[in-house]
Amino acid sequence: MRRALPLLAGAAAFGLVLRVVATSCGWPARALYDGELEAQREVARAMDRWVEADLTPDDFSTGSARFDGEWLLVTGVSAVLGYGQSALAHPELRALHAERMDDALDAMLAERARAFDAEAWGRDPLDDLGSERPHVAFLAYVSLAAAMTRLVHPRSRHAALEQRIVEHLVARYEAAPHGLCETYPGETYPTDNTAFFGALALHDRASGEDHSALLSRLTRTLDQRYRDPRTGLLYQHVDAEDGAILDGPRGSGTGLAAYFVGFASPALSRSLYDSMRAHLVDRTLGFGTTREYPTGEGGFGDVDSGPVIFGQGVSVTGFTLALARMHGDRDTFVATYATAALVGGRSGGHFALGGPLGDGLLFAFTTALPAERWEAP
Amino acid sequence: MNTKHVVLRSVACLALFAADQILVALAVEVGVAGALLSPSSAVALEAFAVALAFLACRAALVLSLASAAAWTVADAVRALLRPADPTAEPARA
Repeated sequence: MRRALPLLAGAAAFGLVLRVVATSCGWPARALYDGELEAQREVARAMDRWVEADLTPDDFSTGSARFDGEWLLVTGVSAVLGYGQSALAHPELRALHAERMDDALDAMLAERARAFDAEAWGRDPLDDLGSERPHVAFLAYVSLAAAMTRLVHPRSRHAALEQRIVEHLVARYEAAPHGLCETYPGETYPTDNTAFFGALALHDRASGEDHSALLSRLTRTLDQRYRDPRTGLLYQHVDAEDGAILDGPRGSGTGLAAYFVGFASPALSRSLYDSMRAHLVDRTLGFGTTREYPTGEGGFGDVDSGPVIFGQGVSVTGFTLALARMHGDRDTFVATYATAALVGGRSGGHFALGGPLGDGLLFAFTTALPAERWEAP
Repeated sequence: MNTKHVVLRSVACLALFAADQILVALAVEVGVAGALLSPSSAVALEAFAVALAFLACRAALVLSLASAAAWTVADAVRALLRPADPTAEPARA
């Protein structure tokens, strides 16, 4: 026993140092979780740099024009959601952030930013409003950002366009036989659709209109038809014709959908997060990670998941931050932030490995409002 | 416990910390965003190399810190136990 003591003491010290590193990396998360004004101001300032930079798809060298366009769009949507959520939490930020939200929307609506969707559909998404083509890849995300902007800033210069986009998509969803519309021609992803579910709920709050019957039908269909019965996770990809499953339950799709759907149905968001906690969320020595695939299933990373390392997905680990804050899971929030700060290289408010997309996502996720905020009034 | 070893471990950790900070600054400067996330192989080689070097250095720093602490504590416990070891006395005599 005496011979083993040095070894045991060394092992304890090893674990303790990792704990200390995790605590140190996760330290800024406490103020973010508590929604402190200065902490939110710091992440907003990091995002200002990218909004002022007037990014284009060329700033994202993924090697694919479609992915460059998608990343630019998601960067803009994340920025708007981050500015909007922090403005709702701290009304003193409202005037400044309203301006930033409109600026970010300008960049998202530029012709070069619409090109990836126009290329896929053969028609420009804004010229195609009122047609039978849903353009979910572009319009669902833009409608979410525009509706948040309208909620924070009712006299936004984009309010009229937001109204037209929502009317276009409402018509498409009312006609959708399986409760979902196509992201690209012949491709349907439930998660992209949930961006519009969130947008419609925000739109109703901003405009005073009532689409609760449609929204209730859409979220109910998502819940009953597109979740894996074993794990409760959302299917990643379904057939555009009949809604049949093409890609099974995944963390990245479930995590992002749970965040978006939180604006429309906090209960469904909570239920999806509970499924993630049961099957995907891990914590080791103070560091939090989230699996891309449920236990017993596996696969490689793709554009949705990012790299999958020992089963842990990069994207879904980030999405977990938003869900932990929305649903009052402080320990998971702090542990997940510790991982993001360590691996992402947090420096001066930016994440060295994240760039504009990483900064944008972290801004939106760390300022996500508690789910009760979105309960029906 | 050998003081020289403790100093050497500390210097190694400090050197890794300095390299880590340089690589973070370099990663922001070069703009390595997405180098490890992109699904395509068309990412700039420089960005990919900096991103990988940063991750490798950070992993080495954390593991070195933890190992140095573990080693030092194990040495200290061994030193504490040594005088009380009854089998050690006859050998020295």
